[in-house]
Amino acid sequence: MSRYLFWRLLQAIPLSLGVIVLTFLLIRLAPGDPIAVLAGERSTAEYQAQLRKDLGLDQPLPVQLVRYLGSVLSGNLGYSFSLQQSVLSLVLQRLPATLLLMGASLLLSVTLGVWIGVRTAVRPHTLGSNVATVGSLLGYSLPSFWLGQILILVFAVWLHWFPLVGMTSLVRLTGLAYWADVAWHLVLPTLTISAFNLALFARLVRASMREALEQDFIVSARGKGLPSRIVVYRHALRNALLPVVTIFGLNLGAMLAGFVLVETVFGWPGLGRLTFDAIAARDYPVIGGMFVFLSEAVILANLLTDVLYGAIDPRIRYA
Amino acid sequence: MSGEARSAANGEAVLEIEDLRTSFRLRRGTVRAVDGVDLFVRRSERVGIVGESGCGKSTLALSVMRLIQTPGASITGSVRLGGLDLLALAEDEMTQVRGARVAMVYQDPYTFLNPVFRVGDQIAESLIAHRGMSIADARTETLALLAKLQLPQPASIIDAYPHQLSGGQRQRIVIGMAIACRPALLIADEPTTALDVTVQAQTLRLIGRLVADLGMSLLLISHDLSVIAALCDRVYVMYAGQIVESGPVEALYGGARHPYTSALFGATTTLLDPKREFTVIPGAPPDLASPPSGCRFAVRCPHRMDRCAQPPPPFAAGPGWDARCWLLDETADASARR
Ligand SMILES: Nc1ncnc2c1ncn2[C@@H]1O[C@H](COP(=O)(O)OP(=O)(O)OP(=O)(O)O)[C@@H](O)[C@H]1O
Ligand code: SF4
Ligand SMILES: [Mg+2]
Repeated sequence: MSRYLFWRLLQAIPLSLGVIVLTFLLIRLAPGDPIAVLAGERSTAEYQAQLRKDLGLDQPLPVQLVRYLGSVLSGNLGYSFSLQQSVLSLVLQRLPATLLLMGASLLLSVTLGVWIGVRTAVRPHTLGSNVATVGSLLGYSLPSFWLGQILILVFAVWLHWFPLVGMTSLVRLTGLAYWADVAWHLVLPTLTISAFNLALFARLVRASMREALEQDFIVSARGKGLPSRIVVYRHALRNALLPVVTIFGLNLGAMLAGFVLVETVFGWPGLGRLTFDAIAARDYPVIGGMFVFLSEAVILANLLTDVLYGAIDPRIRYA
Repeated sequence: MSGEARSAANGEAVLEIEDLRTSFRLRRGTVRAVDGVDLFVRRSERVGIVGESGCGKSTLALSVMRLIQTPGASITGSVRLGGLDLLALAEDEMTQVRGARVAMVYQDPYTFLNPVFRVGDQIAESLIAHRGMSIADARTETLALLAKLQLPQPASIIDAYPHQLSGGQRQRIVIGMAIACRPALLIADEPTTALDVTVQAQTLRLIGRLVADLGMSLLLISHDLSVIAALCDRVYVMYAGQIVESGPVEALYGGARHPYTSALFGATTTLLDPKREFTVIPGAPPDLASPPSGCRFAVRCPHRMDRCAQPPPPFAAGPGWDARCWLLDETADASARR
């Protein structure tokens, strides 16, 4: 296990560096001179030259690249001109909100999705299974920004059950009341993000459960006289989760991208909203910093996925 | 029904099957994989079932265990285990019978073990389910069982995963899963077919010894008569979903009465030689979706007569010995005339 982990970690290093280099090139090669934007159009040529020198932009590209690599590796993701803050502190400020939303929607979509997937695989021809199948097809195909707006319209604007936007109410709350308020704000964005993932997990689990239930070791598990609950949830599900974990890891990047739209629709103060605002303001350091940060997050998540895979399937661990 | 089956009904039978019929509904028709089988196994008796590939041996075993999951499959007749009418039990009652009173060893130790669980746990869960053991007690019992299965270093094998073991070792684990709760009847479906030649005889001897030590009855399925001969007291010969001949192993070896059985003996001569399959019998068995109305062996039979267009009933060939062939009727007639 530890040797396998070590190799996976080693593979992640060049990948991480590659992402940083790519980010550097994307920003430097982007059209338009950042100095002109920064100094203002009516600044003097001397001032621009001075600024260029101060920021190290007069150096040859390879030197700039090495400097950029050095600063990113030491935790400096750049400086946001529009928000007058270091990108790292911006990211750290916004991270908890995104993690909260992500955690809530993963909890909902994984538990419910696995449960629905198992039920529909075990009893494929019941009314409940047919409803779940149609429902997951729907959840799978609805665009999240559209679903978000519909949910706001129905449950916030018409019914007033949930707040329109944001993560907290304007009134200052503390302790339990504060968290209750956050949870109340959390419901609609969580549902919006979960719809797709819930459908994805339900469909994946159903497909792999149906395959797992056909295996010979299910016959021998039943032949031992194990109750069907144990046969299904221990023997079949453990095997059925393998492909699900793989797809989950592959899908994580797309899921993060979805946060940009959903957080914007719900005014959720997380990383997705930060990214959207940075793009609107052409704040290249923030865009670049977010790009590096999110890419590294996906690399890390895939590493964790592999570890999880190894924990489920012993054949991987010792291979 | 033969006189034997009736005397078995008086109490000494562990397993008693009457008119068992199992069919699968497929698009091309209904496949009658088991078509009216009568069979019994006495206490501590070792009984074999032999027949070509596809004749319904596995279907018969899985029907007894009620492990056939195929949608639309139908099982009728009667299967009595001790005093229980298995086909009449509710599914949760049957769950308590499987593994506890009747258990099965399967053909392929590679696919019948769950790849993601430790082999010790796969044995222990049976003990926990049926005997209500604690995890610690089940582990102790499993260790003892592994030693009884002659596995080297039980203390390390108990925590191994299936892929870390050899084929022979895996099959011992499968055997361990089956005998953990000391069932009255052990069904072994081609337990050595998937194994290396070198460990086949060893595995068979192990099964024989365990059955004797634990006082179990054995129903051993094989397409290899020499395997049956090495282990069994009585044998049923199966052809196209039906029993065509049954009797003591020595009696059948001494002179089989059904032409199919004779052909089988002619085909398998060397003990435990896997390369000798009995595809040497010319022709192929009939399609079980539309079997011939008369004797099912007729198209391949060198002794075929006109009356073979009618299905032959079982004729007594000796004490505890039946054969389903019109040839026996003629000899009976002839001896009656003299
Ligand atoms: N689940 C199923 N669905 C449809 N047909 C089946 C099913 N199981 C078995 N059959 C058919 O029933 C017949 C008997 O199959 P079975 O596996 O019992 O034979 P067998 O004697 O065990 O053969 P082998 O020696 O190859 O294991 C075959 O024709 C097979 O195709
Ligand atoms: S009944 Fe006729 S065809 Fe069938 S085995 Fe006997 S002799 Fe051959
Ligand atoms: Mg078989």
